[in-house]
Amino acid sequence: MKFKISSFKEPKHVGAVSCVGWNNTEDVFSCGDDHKLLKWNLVSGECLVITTFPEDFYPICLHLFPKINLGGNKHNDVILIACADGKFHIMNNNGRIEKSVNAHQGACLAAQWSPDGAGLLTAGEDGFVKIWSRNGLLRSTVIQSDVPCYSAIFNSDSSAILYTKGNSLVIKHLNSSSKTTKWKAHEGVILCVAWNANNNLILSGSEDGYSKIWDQFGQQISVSVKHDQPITSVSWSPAGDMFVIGSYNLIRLCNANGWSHCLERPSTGSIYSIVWSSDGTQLAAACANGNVLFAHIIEREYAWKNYTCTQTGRKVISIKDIITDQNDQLDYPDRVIQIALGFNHLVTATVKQCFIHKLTSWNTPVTFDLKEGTISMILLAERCICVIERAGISVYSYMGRLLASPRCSRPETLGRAAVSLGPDALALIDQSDRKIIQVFDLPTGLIVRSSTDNTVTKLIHKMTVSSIALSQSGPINERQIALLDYNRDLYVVTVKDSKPKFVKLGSQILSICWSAETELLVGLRANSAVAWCCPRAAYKSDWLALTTVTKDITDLGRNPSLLSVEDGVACICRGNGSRTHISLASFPEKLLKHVDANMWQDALQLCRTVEDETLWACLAVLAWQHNQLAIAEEAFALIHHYYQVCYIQHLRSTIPEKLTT
Amino acid sequence: MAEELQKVHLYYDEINKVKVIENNVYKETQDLQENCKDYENKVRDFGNIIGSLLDMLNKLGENVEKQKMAAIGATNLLKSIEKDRESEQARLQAEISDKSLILEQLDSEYDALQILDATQSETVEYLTQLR
Repeated sequence: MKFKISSFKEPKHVGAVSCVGWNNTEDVFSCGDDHKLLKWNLVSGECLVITTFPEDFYPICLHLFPKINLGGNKHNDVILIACADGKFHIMNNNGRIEKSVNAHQGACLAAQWSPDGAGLLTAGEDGFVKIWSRNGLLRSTVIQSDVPCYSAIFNSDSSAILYTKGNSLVIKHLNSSSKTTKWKAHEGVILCVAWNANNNLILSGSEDGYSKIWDQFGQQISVSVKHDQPITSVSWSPAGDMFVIGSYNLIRLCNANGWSHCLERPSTGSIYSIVWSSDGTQLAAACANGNVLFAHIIEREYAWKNYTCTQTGRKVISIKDIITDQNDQLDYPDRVIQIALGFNHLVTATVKQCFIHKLTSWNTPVTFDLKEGTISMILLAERCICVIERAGISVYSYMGRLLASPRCSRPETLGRAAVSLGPDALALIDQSDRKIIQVFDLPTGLIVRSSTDNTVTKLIHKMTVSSIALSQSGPINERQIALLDYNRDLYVVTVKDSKPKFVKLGSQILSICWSAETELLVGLRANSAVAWCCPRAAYKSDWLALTTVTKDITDLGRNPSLLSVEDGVACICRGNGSRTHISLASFPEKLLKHVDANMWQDALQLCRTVEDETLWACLAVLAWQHNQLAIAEEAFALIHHYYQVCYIQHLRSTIPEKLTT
Repeated sequence: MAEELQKVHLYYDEINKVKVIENNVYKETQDLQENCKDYENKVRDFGNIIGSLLDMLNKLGENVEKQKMAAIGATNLLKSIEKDRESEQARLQAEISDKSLILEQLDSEYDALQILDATQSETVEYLTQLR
């Protein structure tokens, strides 16, 4: 993954550009020391002077009103600019100043709308952080201190403020009952901070040349290499999977785990501000030499079975079949935003349309139009595609037919871990109460869509849920959902049970993934991988232990994640970004496939050939669950569970005609 | 008569001209005059020589000044080159560390794939033996 940087040859600003902001995914506002507000259009490559401010107008920080639906009353004054004379200005899209407020003594160094749009905060050289109403009336002075506050931001739900105080970072909760968290973060003055809504991690950049990632309790997650110059800007991508840091003549793109994707050294001077577009594929940077830099993320790589695809340009994807060595370039009319590869299909979303390519004939895609140009995620399952846009969630079939559009508030804030798509269900963690999981049934086959058939099942866990995964096989009434909660405990629930029971499978699990074809669940611990071959046997702990395969893996690094499980081989992304394939449960997965296909003789044959105790245990449990008593009897005998054998023999002798058929 | 003339400070010279000063003194005066002329000439020559020397020295000074400036320029250039090299080195070092990081990633990926390959061929062998 790397940047493709583009900028205009002649700088349009005279003097330094101090701030930029995205209006939508095509338009960028920039403002600099030449008192001009410029609007850049990336599609047409135009640059317009919106307005010229008076001579004493030196902007420092610009923020655009968050794109949320405020229920009808559309506000037009959306641009918030903080100035060196301590004022902040609210202006409309045409650059007309609607409101100017004298906020601070000395410069006003930071200004941000709250994510819910209810108010705004400003921070100044005088060490004050103040909260103002939407119209610029002072609500409260939250913080008073004697050192300048260089940066202050809201968290995702506007309930807390993070601000800098010299070398320290401070989190102040706005409801007064909670304690403030303060910690020393850097050796030098902290210049910039960012707080991601999706992963809730904090990023800080300082004069000492380091950028560091913190969790919300002040624990250090990772630290960058030392840079020669102070870090002047940091920014999280909206999805929270990567971030950029800007310094003198330097832009670096990093993964959320801290390792670097790529490093660019444009000769632009210091980069005062970097902002991502809402789709997370482009960014704009304000440079000290008067340029505004635009960068696209390219060379994103995807692989599934024998296919790999790479985005080579803004509008070009190259796809390759490794076995036949056949490759091709797919050209799109617009910029490609999201790509998903899997289940024999390649799905790409451009600004306007979504393309579904069959991997057997990728030149004839099915297309459908998207509602809005900000698509944040594409999920694939065996029979359907889920497209998550700001306008809402939609589920389509691979033929491009809309199957369902489950209702959800602010879908663009959903992270990868908070949503899961099964072949006939979509599960979401409720964003307002993260203990609740909503499972939407999706219409399958030829059922005609209507608004009433979106039945929702609500599952309520006792803890905050951090990650969910739906099983990918089996009939809909046996659909299981695996969830990781805040304590990193793994639970499995059968969705369609009348009384859903949360069965605990294990603790200290970092990441989970279901096999794409069977009910094999794989979890990742700090230094081992665990495969639960029959998660449904979890109500009997000895059966669960027998059907679990554990394999030790060294040096997984920090925060590893499971990418996929295919044929019992788990693909793991380690903390340092490298991929590891671990053969974990290839025979059990084969067995599960035989059982799914109802080929009990083949399953038995497999067990007899391999002669592995775990495999026999799996067969025993599966045969017991599927009422195959003869096979279960043999299997239980081989794993020495004689009481179970006796029980089965008793059953077979008393009521043979009902159960053996 | 000559002696009487001498008394009134009149003298005859060799060609019997009457003179008011003594012959010797006259001669010495003549010599002195010549010497003075000589001296004057020599002083003028010396003046000329000194003038040309000054000119030369001035030229030399100018030259030295020029060379000095050139030397300072060269030193500065060298310093800046040094700095450039340093930053270039830092850049390349950063690139090397980035690349080695990628290499490390790919190495570990390769290792993992080799292990997977080994396990799978082991399984294949095991199954073939069973046949």
